[in-house]
Amino acid sequence: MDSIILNHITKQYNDFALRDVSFAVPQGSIMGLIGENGAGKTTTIKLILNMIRADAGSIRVFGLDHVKDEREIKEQIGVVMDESCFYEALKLRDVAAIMRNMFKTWDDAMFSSLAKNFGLPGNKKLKEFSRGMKMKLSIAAALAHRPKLLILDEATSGLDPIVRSEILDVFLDFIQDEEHSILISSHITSDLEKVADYITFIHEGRVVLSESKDKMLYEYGILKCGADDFAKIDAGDIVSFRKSGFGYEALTADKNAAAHKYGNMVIDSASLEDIMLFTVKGERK
Amino acid sequence: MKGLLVKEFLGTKSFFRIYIFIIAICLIPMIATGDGEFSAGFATGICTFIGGMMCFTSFAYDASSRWDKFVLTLPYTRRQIVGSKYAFSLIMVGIGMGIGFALNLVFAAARVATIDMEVAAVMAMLVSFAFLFISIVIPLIYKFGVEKSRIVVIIIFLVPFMAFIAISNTMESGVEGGFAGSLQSMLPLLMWLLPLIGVAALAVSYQIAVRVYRNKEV
Repeated sequence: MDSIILNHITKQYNDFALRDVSFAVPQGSIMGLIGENGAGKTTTIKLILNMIRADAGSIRVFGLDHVKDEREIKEQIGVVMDESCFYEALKLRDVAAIMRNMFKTWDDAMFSSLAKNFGLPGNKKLKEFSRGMKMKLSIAAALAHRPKLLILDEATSGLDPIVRSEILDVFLDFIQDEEHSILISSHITSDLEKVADYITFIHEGRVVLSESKDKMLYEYGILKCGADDFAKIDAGDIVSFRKSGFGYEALTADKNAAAHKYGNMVIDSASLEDIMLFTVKGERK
Repeated sequence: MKGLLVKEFLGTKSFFRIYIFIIAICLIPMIATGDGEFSAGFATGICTFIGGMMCFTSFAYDASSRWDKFVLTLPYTRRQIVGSKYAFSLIMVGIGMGIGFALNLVFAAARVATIDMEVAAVMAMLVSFAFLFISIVIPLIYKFGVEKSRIVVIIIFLVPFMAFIAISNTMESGVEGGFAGSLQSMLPLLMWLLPLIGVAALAVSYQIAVRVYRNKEV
């Protein structure tokens, strides 16, 4: 079963369009949404949350219609945006008091425990919290009503590696329950390489790739060669290439086939960042 | 909707301290002159005004903390979110007016002011104006945002105020009894009519705000 299904979603703006976006977030998995700034990641998340309306296509969350069954769906979702959205004058106990009255399933003990584990001070106002602490608070608030789905929009951006690592561990804990799923957008691809099960790559409003992360990392590779060897590569065997002072680098979607065909060339594994970079910046042969 | 109201009150609780400051200011003319009539009227007016202004403050806080986006991820319909803003604004007007009236009672008990029909008429008018203010401000903010609405609200309230002054001057110079006299004779009618207009404006305003917010993309 899929937690989220997007079917041929289209959204037109004056200067940007999301076109025919389709992907699914399987239950029990972490889906990473990657793409450069302005690619359409946040627009996609806003569409799922019914903050904006799609021009065409359908979205189902937990098998329910995301507009008609909005309240029922949102009772079971925890959302973390790229900034903490609570008033700066509040303290932890105020946040708990607010959320307790918003979610039927709010768990005070769980919130206190998460706040304690995250080292959040109960006696300080949020305006005294660091950015990392604010994000941890948002994550604690999102988790403490025991959601089945977490949606995170650039939640780890701008945080130091230690805090990011702590937060990623929390996500991995959350996903231990097979009913739980996470949709996380980020341009820090190394984070997603650590935790994501699936990756959806959006570029200029279109889904370029949406598949298992392991499959992507296993299948994609980078051919490294000089100008003479590069001339021998069939255009159909590579996605795109980049020329540098040392020669050519070309991204292939089938590393093993390329290794077999071009045995004399060096082929390295491709990271998510490589796949993103070559797709966005690379040239077509 | 309870959670949304809890958020409003906890988020703006520091603002309640301003009432203590205002009460202190209201006492100054009374202490200076020994007459509490001005202080009583001033307290009722300013406390109600601040109550009405709290809806603006609440929207401004929402925008600065980005709560206006986050609230749409919570299990509420847009109608409920709009409803919570009206409920909070009306409660704040009630609290403001309640504080003002409580001061009137204290002054009356201290025999420095009296509570009569004039006080009731002033309160009826104040609450009506607060209703009208809320009715105009909330749909405007949903449509144009806090910053743009601030300018529009100043214009909306400045134009009638200037017109009032102009008409008042003209009538006082040209008509026997002056504008004040005319207003005096209309007072009983206005006392009943204005609150009704205020309530009707709120009902229409709420429907408009819901419609605007439903179509809004955040």
